Amino acid sequence: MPERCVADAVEINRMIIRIATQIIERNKGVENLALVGIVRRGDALARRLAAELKHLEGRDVPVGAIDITLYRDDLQLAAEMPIVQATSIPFDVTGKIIVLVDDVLYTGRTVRAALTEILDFGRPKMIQLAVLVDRIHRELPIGGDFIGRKIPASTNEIVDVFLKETDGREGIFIKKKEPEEG
Amino acid sequence: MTWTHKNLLGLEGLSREEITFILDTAERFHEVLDRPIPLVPALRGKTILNMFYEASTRTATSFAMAAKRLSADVVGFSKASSSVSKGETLLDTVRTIESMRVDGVVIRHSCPGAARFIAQRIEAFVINAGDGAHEHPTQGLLDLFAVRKRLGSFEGRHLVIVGDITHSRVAHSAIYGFSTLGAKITVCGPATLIPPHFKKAFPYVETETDFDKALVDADMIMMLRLQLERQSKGLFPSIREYRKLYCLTAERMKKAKPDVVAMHPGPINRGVEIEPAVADGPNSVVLAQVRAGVAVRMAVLYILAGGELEH
Amino acid sequence: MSTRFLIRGGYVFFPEEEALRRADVEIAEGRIKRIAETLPAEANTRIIEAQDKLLSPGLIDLHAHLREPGREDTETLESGAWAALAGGFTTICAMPNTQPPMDTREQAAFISKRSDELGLARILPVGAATKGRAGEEIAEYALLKEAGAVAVTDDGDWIYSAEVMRCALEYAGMLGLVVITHAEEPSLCEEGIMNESAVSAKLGLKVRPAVAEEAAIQRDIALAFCTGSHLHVAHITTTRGVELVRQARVKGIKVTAEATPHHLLLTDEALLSFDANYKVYPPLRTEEDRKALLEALKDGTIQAIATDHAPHAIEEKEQELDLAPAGMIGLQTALSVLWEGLVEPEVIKPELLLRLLTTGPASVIGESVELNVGSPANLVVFDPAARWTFDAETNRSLSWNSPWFGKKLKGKVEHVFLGERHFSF
Repeated sequence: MPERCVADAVEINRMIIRIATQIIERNKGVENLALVGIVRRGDALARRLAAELKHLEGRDVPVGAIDITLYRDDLQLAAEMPIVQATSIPFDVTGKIIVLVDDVLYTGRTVRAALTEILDFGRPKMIQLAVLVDRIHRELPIGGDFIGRKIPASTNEIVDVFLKETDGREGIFIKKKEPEEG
Repeated sequence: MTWTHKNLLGLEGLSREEITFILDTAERFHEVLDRPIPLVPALRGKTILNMFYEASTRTATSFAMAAKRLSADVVGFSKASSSVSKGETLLDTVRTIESMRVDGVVIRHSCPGAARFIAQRIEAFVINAGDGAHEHPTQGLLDLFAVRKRLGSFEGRHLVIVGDITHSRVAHSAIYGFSTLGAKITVCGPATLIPPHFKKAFPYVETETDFDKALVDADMIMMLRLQLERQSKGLFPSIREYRKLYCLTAERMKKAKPDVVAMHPGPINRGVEIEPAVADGPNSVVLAQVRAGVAVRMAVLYILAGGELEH
Repeated sequence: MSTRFLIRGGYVFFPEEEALRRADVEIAEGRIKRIAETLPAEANTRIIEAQDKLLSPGLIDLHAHLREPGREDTETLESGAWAALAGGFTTICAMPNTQPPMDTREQAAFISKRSDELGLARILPVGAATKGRAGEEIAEYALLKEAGAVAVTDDGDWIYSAEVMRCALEYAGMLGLVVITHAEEPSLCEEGIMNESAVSAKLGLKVRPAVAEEAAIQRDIALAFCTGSHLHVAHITTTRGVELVRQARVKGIKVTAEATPHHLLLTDEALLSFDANYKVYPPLRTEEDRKALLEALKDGTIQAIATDHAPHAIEEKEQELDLAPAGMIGLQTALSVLWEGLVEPEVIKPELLLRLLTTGPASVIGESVELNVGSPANLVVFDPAARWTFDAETNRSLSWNSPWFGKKLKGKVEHVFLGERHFSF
């Protein structure tokens, strides 16, 4: 199936700058702020955002990463064993404003799992959500606070976000799902 | 990686890739144990049955804790508190379990093959928590895990296993696990506690009765627990003599490599297999083994519970 | 009026010459009427075509556990005798480890009487060597013999006291009875369930080492030598055990021995499956031992193949290996598995196999085997090419603890002639 590019590297960079700016505006700076990326692409995005925040505000913002595999609600549906990646939150989340970062917000289930996991690490003052792409079709009452772009793709389409750090190339693409075999 | 085994009955036959996969997964759970709330919901709604037909506080507790850290429900019995003492056969117990619909069974039993016996007859996955003198795979895995944290890899490393080799499931699982990951192995003990056909069974393992000789070249020393009742069967004459020949003393440690890793599956007969100064000293990983036990068992439970499609 | 039978075109085993020759055999009124290269079919004669099949005197089993009295849920004299016939055995020796043990004239007489009533395979009682099989005092051998006992044994256990064994041999020798020994020194086998080998070293199962058999045989041979009596070693399994018997026989000591089909065909590697059907005492040994047994069959050190048919209830067998009772059934399958496993691959000659199942065992208990004009009909027709499945439908035993249960076997007993009776399977 041919894929259609809806954003390139330059546009992704603009989105990150805009999200960083919005984070600063909303929180009136970066005081008491921390970023937590959902592995793997959310983790990469969180690091870029942190760099951007430092550039804008001149301060380091702590960054953590979480793998939500152990918090998923569909373990029994996994045929292939997912390799559990490292969760590393090298700071105390209690009392902090946490910005959770992921590439795509779709059904909301990943974010739900991530929220549960973060809350197991302590009691943050607030959790906000930053995503590069919002696909609309939600299955849980979850909304994004900072959104790169809304892409109302249909359920038989796939939205891929590729990042240099994780994929070796950069861009947001849409393609049709392969028809299922049989 | 695709996991293809329904059960974990032993380390015999597992590939290097499979063992490494379990150890890598266990690393993640090891991290979970450090969290303020050391609990993940991965096995929520799953029921794990702990069947301990032999007293074992350590292993039973470790498995129960592992299952609870994964949010599974844990039920179980040990021999004294169940109908086993009323003479129910293992087969009847199996049928009872089947009708209770549990997802996984952890079994400790004094008869070799008991875990396999159950596994052949039920749908739930089965983890062998020690079957007689046959295998104790999660012990082997936790030993590997604890040592890997210290040494990084096993390639070309030399493991010396000391004590009652004949009656040791711990030794068997260690032999399979460590050799698969590339370690060289020597078993060491009195001639009465090494099976006469050992070399035929494990041609790649060396045997040695002189601990002082075996020790010099070791990167890892695994001290086995001595069942003191073996003495009454005449397999060794006295504790005093056993200690003289096979106790890991501070004196002996001087002859070993300075960074040698000392292991013991516990519970330790202090001063018999290993001197307190060594067990609590810098070369010892005894406590790391206990902690590794929970992480490794979480990994095994998680992998076996998730490894199959539900229809 | 009994039917006449003409068994045509088969290979007939003539026991005296130990030869297999093509011949037609006619049976009438429960006796062999005629034997010739070709016989014309007469009126009122039922013809059995036996081209490429075997005609042998009925087989003799020195070693069967028939469980009656005591465990009639697992086997009875009747079901055991049926299983025997279906396997080609027309004479079987019933071991005395029943409940209670068969240690009196009355109990032996019960077996003999029941055997006559049934009119199936003939069941010969073997008396207990000691009262209650306790290994302490010898039983009443003369009375046992009067009631039909052909031998005495404490099979299942070795007689631990050398003094008691010496008395047993002396007293049995006086009466012309053979003493059968279950040669396993128990102090070397404590709680053991399998051979001591590379396999046991891996599986961690407790052992019954070869040396337990050797030590027991050695002592018993010494006692047979000093008493001059006939010692028979049941189910011999080891290289050294066989060697001891061989040397003793060379020295003229009256020692005979039997081996079982399972020890001749299987090794301890079978236990890698943890299948309790492979748990037998003495245990399955190594390939080296198996080869030594085959050599001993060929050079005459071992005179008989005996089944050690040992029925056990499924609920007893389907347990942890340590708890499951030892033994497998074998009466119905022995000839088939031996033929397919040893004769077809030309490990041993068919004549030798038939000797080990007829005249060999007969010589141990002083029986005779004949296949002559005028002899009572005691004949088996065996088709080595016929295929059948040993399963719930074909099994005649009340138990099914056998590694061959559920398997397709080659070689089948089709007819048995026993006096005036004819059985086809």
